Amino acid sequence: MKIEAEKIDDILVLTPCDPVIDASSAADFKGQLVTWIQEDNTRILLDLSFIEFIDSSGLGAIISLLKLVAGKGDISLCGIREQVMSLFKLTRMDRIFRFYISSTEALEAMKAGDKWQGAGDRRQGAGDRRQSSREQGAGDRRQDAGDRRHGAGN
Amino acid sequence: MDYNALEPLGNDPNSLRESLLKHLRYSLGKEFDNKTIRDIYLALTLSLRDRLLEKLLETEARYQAADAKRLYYLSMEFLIGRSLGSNLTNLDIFEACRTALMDMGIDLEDVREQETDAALGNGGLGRLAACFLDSLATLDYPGFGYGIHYEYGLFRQEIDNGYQKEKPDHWLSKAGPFQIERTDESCIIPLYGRIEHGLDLNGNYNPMWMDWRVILGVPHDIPIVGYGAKTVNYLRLYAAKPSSDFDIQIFNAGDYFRAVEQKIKSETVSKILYPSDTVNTGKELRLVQEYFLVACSLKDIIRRYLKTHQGFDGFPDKVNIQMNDTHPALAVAELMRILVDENSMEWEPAWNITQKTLAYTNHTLLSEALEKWPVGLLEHVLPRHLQIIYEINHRFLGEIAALWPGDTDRLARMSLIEEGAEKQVRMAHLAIIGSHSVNGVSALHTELIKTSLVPDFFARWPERFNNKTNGITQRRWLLKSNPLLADLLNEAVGSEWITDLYRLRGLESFASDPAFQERFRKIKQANKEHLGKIIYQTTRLKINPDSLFDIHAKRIHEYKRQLLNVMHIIHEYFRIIEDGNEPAVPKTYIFAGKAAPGYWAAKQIIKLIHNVGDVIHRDKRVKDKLKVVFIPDYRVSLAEKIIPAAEVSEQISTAGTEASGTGNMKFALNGALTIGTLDGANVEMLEEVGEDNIYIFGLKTCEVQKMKMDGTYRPLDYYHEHDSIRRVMDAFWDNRFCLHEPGLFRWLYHHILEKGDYYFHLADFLSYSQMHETIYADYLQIPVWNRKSILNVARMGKFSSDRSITEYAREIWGLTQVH
Repeated sequence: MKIEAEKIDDILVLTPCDPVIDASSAADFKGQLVTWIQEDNTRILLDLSFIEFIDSSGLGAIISLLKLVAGKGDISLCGIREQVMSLFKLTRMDRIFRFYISSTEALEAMKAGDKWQGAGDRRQGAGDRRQSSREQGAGDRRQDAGDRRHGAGN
Repeated sequence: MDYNALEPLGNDPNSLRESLLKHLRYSLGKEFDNKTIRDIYLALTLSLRDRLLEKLLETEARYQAADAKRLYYLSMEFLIGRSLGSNLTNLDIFEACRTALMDMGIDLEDVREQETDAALGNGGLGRLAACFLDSLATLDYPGFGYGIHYEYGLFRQEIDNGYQKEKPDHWLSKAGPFQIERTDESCIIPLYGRIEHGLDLNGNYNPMWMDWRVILGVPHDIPIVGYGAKTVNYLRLYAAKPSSDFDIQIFNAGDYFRAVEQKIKSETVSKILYPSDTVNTGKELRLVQEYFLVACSLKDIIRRYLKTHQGFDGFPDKVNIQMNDTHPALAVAELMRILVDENSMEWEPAWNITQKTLAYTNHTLLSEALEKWPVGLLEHVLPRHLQIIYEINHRFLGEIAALWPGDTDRLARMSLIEEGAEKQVRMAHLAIIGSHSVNGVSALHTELIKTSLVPDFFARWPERFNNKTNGITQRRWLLKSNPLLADLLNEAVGSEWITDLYRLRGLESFASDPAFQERFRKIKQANKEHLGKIIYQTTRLKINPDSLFDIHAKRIHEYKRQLLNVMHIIHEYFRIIEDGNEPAVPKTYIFAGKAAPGYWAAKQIIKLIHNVGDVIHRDKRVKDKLKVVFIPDYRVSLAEKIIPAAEVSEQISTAGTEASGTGNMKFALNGALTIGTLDGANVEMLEEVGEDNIYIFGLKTCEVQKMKMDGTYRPLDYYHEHDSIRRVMDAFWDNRFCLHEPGLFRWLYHHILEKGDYYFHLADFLSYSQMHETIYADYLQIPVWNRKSILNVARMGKFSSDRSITEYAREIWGLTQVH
């Protein structure tokens, strides 16, 4: 899988160029990203604007990257198409990443270091704090105003 | 230029002929001189499809302009049978088409015989769904069916030496082009996987559904035209396909065969329709099928809704979803998942929307037939849904505990989870809790739901429970299937009955008119002769068309008591050969029906019917006064030929077991007199036709229940006290009907006399036999019989599916007609 990389200040912008991340490419995709992270790139912006479909192995690879940078940096995502966003929502992975419409918007927010009130990230994180032992989080009340492009925010 | 405004298609014989010839040449690539009858069928179907699609687009535009609320009927079964004849009837071009073909030297009936039945259902539940679609379209309601595009319908039944053999029914290979594949509206359905527990960006618990596999749901639309052709709705059936043609990773690894295997595995989901009585065996594929239906349907319903609406607050005002039995009950968890997970809605408003949107129809009183899924299996297939079901249960039980403090037994009874060696999810409870309406399908059935099946739920939400007695569409079950009678009715009372069945009341004034009776009788006679030919073609058995046709046609099941009928036939046989009691008019007992492949007892009953018939037919002492016929492969198109010929209709289930029945209504509408128990809709049929015009026998539901509860039913007492019963039971023991296979039917002797006779055959035997005597005496009085028969037709108004649908629309769905 071809992945373009560009370093802007301390942020590494990675752009996978193939339209699909699935079982046949997820391992390669993950391997390349792990290499960059191990080279001390801990602030990552993943630009998925070329991606048309991502399956559960692709999503799993992205989660493992998040775990890899946990406590050391952050990963944000941008340029996500509706079809791909629906898969993030299906898995509830949309709740563990920050999403931006464009890389410009994402970079601005990341540079500002403002995780919650950044210009590009209009999420309101004052969510429901209930924790149920059975189905915890089912009552989460995020309002994805910043994610309106994907039909969320209801 | 308005590119949507095309010249309307003509419906006169010339236009139809031109369409047909164009399709023959340009769609099929055939010269007229080289055509086969199959080609004509295909070209005619394509010509009709053009007209249906034209109306379908018009209908959709009308619905959109009205921003109409829509009803989606989710059902694992739609037993639609053949479509050509009913489409011709409802488009009102039957005669024009007959003329167009006749001019080309082609008989429309030959063309119609080319069509294969779409046997996408087992029996009553699936046929009800098909009748409802017809009524929804006829009444101009925006109502649509959603189901599965099974590659194989219900098995084809063949009889080999009296034994049922099941053959695959690959209906698709012979299906006509009525259906339209809509690959552009395919959807991705996730399955399996695991839950990864974690926290979201706010620090809240965030379960993530990971490592799922996906299959593709590809919709196929079948246009459903209402009578008069103003409205054309659709039935959308989903076929399962792999998400890509091959699993690329496996393929790249060089394992071509495993890649193909994966593809086949995905397609298996919509491969076969499960025969009833096998759906509760915990089969993973069946669970996957049920979720596949629910997930595809909800995705499509929500996609359509969001095209013209924002947000979900108004969703229940624009959408209602009816769950036909518990098979689509996962819709409760799936809709909650979509609202809460995919649309970040809070639990409470999401639950409110879910309940307002969903409604549930119960179809069975047999507790063993209520669906349950092992928790382990559900977790394996749908891990996120199991979490949601647990959450629903937790909140629900909290509410019940608050209302009935300390009543732990009640909590156990009502819980969604049945405890035991293997925990199971009770799908009926899920459907009840997640719906705003729970309905039974006959007055008696609904009462039994409230008092016996789920009384705890009735105590909690009495307002949620209601009755909607089943109905049948008179367009298929009289207008199309019995054209001679339909013509007579048109002549007598006008044709309004076609859309308002109560209009048949006008027939009452003709009931005693000798001239009318004579015409009515001649039509019955013609239908009997027609059925006689079919029986000869399929069984090589010659029957006397002047004999009394007593018909028992329905799924073979112990509770429906085909065995009681056979026992009575044996009794009549002995009366002839041992008691010298020869009937004045010969009788033909006709059976038809399929037994589930794994249902041993039901298959044995089919064998018994054949063996009893063989013995009787070989016995010269009977002098052809008694015949027993089993017509193989009962299906909708065969029912359309059997029912118009019936004189007596057997509806003899043990009281308290049949939810409604719809065969009972079809037979009576075609002038058959019912011999039946006070079960299901028979009770309401008695109210409608009057006690002089129906033959009711046997124990009532409350009597059966009491005897069961008190343990006072002792079959052996009946055996000892009644010679006629003993004679029949002894015949099972002494191999009278299985000389070549000794011991074959001894299980019946044990089953009834020693194991309690669960369905009360002996308790009802004497009153059943006596009622047959009464029927016979009445049958000999021709004017009396004809009057009763005509009054049955006249008084079937209530049992139109138009009445059922009108009630559903007003009282459950809040649906408005869009004229």
